[in-house]
Amino acid sequence: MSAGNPSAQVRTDPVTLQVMTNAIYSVADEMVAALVRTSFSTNIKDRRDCSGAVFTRDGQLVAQGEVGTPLHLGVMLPAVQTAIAAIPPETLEPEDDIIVNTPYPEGPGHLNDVTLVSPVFDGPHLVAYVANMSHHVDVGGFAPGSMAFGVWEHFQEGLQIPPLKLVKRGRIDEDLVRLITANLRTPVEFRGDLAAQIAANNVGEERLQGLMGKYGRESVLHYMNEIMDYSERRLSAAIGQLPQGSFSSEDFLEGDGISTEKIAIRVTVTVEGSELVADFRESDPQALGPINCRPPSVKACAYYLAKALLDPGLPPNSGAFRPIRVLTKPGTLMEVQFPGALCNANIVTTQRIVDALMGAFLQIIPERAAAACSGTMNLLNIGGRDPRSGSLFNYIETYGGGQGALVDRDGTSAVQMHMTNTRNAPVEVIESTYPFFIHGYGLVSESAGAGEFRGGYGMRREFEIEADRVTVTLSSDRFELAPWGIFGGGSASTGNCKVVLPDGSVEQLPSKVTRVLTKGSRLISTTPGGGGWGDPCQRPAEQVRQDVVQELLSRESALNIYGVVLDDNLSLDLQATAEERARRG
Amino acid sequence: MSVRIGVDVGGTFTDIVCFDEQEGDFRLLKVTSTPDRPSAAVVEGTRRVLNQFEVAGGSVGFFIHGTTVATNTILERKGAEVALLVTAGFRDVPYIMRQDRPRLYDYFQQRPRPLIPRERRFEVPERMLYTGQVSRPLQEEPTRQLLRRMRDLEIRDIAVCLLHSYVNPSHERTLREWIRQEIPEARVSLSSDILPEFKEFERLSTTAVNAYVLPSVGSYLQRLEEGLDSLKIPSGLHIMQSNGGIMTSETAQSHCVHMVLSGPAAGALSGLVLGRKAGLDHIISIDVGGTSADVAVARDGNLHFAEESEIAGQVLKIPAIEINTVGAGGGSIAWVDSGGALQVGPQSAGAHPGPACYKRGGSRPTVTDANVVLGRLNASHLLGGEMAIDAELSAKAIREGVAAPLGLELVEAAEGIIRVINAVMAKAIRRLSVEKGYDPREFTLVSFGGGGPLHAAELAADLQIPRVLVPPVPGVSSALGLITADFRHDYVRTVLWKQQQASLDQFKAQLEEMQSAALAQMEKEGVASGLVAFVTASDLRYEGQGFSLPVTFDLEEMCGWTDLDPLIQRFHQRHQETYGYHDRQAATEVVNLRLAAIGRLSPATLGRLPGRQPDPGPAREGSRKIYVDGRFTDANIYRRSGLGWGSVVRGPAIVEQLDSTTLVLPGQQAETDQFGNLIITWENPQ
Repeated sequence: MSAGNPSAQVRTDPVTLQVMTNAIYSVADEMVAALVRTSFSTNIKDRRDCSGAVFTRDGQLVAQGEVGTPLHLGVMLPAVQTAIAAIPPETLEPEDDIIVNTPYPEGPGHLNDVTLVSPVFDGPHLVAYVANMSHHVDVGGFAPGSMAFGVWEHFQEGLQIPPLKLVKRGRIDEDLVRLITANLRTPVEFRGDLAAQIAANNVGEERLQGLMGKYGRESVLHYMNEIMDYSERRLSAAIGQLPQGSFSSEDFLEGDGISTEKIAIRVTVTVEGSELVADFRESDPQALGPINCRPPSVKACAYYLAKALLDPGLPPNSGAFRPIRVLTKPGTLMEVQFPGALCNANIVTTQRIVDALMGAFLQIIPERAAAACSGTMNLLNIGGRDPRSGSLFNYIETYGGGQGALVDRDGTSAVQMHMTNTRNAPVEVIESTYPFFIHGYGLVSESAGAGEFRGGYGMRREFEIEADRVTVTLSSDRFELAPWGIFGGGSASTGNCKVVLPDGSVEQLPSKVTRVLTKGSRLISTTPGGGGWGDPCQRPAEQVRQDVVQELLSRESALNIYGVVLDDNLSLDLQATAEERARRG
Repeated sequence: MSVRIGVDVGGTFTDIVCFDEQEGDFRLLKVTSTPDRPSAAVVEGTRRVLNQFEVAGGSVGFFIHGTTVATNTILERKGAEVALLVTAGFRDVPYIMRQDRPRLYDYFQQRPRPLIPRERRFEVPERMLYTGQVSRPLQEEPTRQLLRRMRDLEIRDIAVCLLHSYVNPSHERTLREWIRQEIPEARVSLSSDILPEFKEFERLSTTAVNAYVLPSVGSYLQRLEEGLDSLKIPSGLHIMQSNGGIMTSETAQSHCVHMVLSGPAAGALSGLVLGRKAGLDHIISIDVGGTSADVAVARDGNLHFAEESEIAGQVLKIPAIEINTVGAGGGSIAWVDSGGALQVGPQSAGAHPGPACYKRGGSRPTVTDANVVLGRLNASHLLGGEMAIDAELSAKAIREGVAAPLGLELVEAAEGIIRVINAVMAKAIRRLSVEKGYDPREFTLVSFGGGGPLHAAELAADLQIPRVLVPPVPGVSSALGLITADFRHDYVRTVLWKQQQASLDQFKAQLEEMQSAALAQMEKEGVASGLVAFVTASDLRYEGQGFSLPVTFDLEEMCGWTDLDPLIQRFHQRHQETYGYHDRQAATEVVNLRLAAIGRLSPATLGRLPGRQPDPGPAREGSRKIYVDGRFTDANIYRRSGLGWGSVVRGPAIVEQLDSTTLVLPGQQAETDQFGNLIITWENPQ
């Protein structure tokens, strides 16, 4: 393969485009692989809550490699632009790294997503940037996990790190690291993951420089733009197939951890030629509790759903974002003003934004859309002192629920949906690592939304606390407003969280809370199912019977909800079923 | 005379290698596979080999088999109706898996159904703690009642996976006793036997797969043994495992989960063996077939292992050679996507209809068609003349499917297809090398399968791999791994010893238990204890850390230890190397002990070519125009069988043989070594 000639105009050909797309996405993938391989915390290593990306010199996103979360989609872009604006190119030198985690004015969705941005030099020229974003479990603040409820100001949420040079010409600013880690509960994890982040950017820099050596700088820079144009063409072509018009939808959050008043997310999606506009400006005013969003988090939801619905294989980059416009209004839930609290935006609010968007897309492209999924990441964070070792621990996990039914199939049960895809912690790992005893872990029968295609079933985990005193943060929703079904499909059951206190009394926890629990308390967390699709009486009776056989649905529900009659041996009574269904019309 | 026979069953062909242990030479035969009854092709092929090469069945000292029977049972979901016994409260573990969805952006892609449906998963009243203490004793009466119910349901295959059985298997073992009493004919797989390692889902899934494939593997192996008896072959049947070692048929019948990735393992092993023989021990192997390419990597003569692998979404946590398979082969179809970029694969034209030039009705352009248009493949026939092809059909398919929609000339389009498929293969190689921390510039690319040698030279150029090795018979090279494999069994024990409680005595006792289990196993398989070597490692972590790091040590040096400090020091050092950080103040924890037992067979010393014959001239069969680097150039064509030891072919050149075609680029040279390998290097290394 010939190296590009820097002086000549580079011609675009579709083959080199594909080869270069492969090569530049490999850079991003290899950064993520290095990050996961050398990271210290379980959250990155096993839950893979991180991303890596390549940017042009003017901060356009060319390629993003992702493994565990779509939350970073579209969020890395403003984080990098904020960093570049604060520390302009002319002040950067080779082997510099910028650290930033501030959501204000534009940046990550919450302080946990610490971002590292590095310039890439080709000789004396700054030609591009690479960056990675990793969710650090602890960035200080009010409670372990830095995503507490009971806060109402950004200052209470954790340590703000504005764009700063963390590494200067390859040397880490140890003073800065000491300042940061002095504010953290688990400084060792932070340091370990930060080292992995630095290593990952080094991999990206070297790889990008290697590509320029091989293909020529001008050629690589030329194709960076071509890759973005390519994604734009692909998404525009897909949007161009959609029916034109405006489609509105709304959904609600159940309070902000301070008040339980419902908070509306309203969206109107407009298809105009090959452009999509998602207008959220009619959403409710910003809340006091930490569930507000900055616009990048809202955009991440729109980008996620457009990709999932229209072209799952679309290479994610700035080009793919161009055909999508997201409108928000300052002072609303979707565009909180400083210093409004927002640390649970990623966990709670983004899932409801997707639900609202899905409501609109069900009117546009139902065959690719879904009924409401469980709609909550149901994060549990439990921190305290482990009586076995005497050291501090911090357990964090998000729980899957039911997937909403699709046009031609049932939803999956107990699965991570939409803006998260992190893995669970095995029972045997939890018990040997944390002072907990797990009484049970499984599906919740009767929790799926009924329909011709039913939703997935929710999930239940039951813990017993074996430490003297722990701080528990629950970050959830859909305890009151169930995930909805569509086209005649039923809604799913809601989630809940119960505590059986050592004295035997039972307490229902609110969906958003930070509180202390003592030894012997049992925590029973249940997630919602997914909504159903279509008339339950259209569901093949044999499939209804299967759920009964599997002990996920009672015989009574088979009859009451689906009009399916089973005898004592759980055999189908076809005639009685036909009569029952006919009676219902 | 004593021979070793290796039989590798693939989807289309069954390859048989017959190796003469005295002479060191081997012969190969290909017969058509019989997917409905794979044992038939194995027996028939073996019979033909014996006849053709005039070998008496009685002189077969060793018979080794690589099979996809277990794999296909899972792929086709034709396994047993297994019932599962789990700890009360945890019936849904196999369904929930790790609770993630398979594809981030495609929620239509759902998790695979578990092999055991919910109604056949039964909860047992018992509970063990992670310390090995019993929290709730196994309740006899209700459990026996349950077993009787299972008997009435005609359940005959049972998997057992109880929480924390890796540390205390007593409940699982008691259950097995009770099952034997209540359902005497049941086949039982215990998780504490199959994989005594923590993390319940992975242990359960591995055990479930074992139980699921057990009956079909068992009857297959029995049929095969009968077939070998009819050929009067005295050697027992030996089976290739996913870890690249072999086991006896008897062991395979109870631990069949270890043969699920048997097929590609043999190929990966071949790459290593071929490289090692040529004095090379950093190897990247790529086996390119019609629909896919398998990549494996070995460093310092050791194949890279995966801790976990997957087959049709079913998770296996057994040590297996890590193989990265991508949908890139000769039959991969080229197409233009909605953004106007050229894509190749993963869809393949397969063997039917095959590439357009095969004249079997295929009209979509494939990689093979592109190679024909570019002159890299012979334009009139393949398979050494056995199969006539039509180059005009290749040109037509590429013109219509790629050149016209993209506005390219025919050759530009054909070259584009090759560049894109090479990029896909290169990415697969990067995944297993660069992303694992290996530098391809230190490796040799061993390329085989029918399609490998056509792409190897360009892949090496792209990845800066300095050397390519093309074995003498690339088309059947993966069977070669079979006859060079050793016995191997891997053992793991999860112990979770915190630093203050961990003692050297305890550590040694645990290792001794594993060693004697390994030696007993080897003895059962007929391997003398003197031939068994051990490789040992331990996974350590800092207390509270969610994952561990493997630290290797050898048994001999351990004799000099007075406590576990040397191991812990090595862990700190490994941690420093891996994460750039360590903490000598922090308490550590021993998570797992690992032991691999390797029973060495007498090495299969492959023969050499007779004497040097450096002149490639006699092998030359004219020249033709091939398209490389954006233009047509004249390339000499050579017959592979005519190239002798020491001959050097200068690129651009094409080397043709019955089962494959090798491309040598301008600026490269291909030298035939004393073992008949083609070694491609650059004339002026960069």
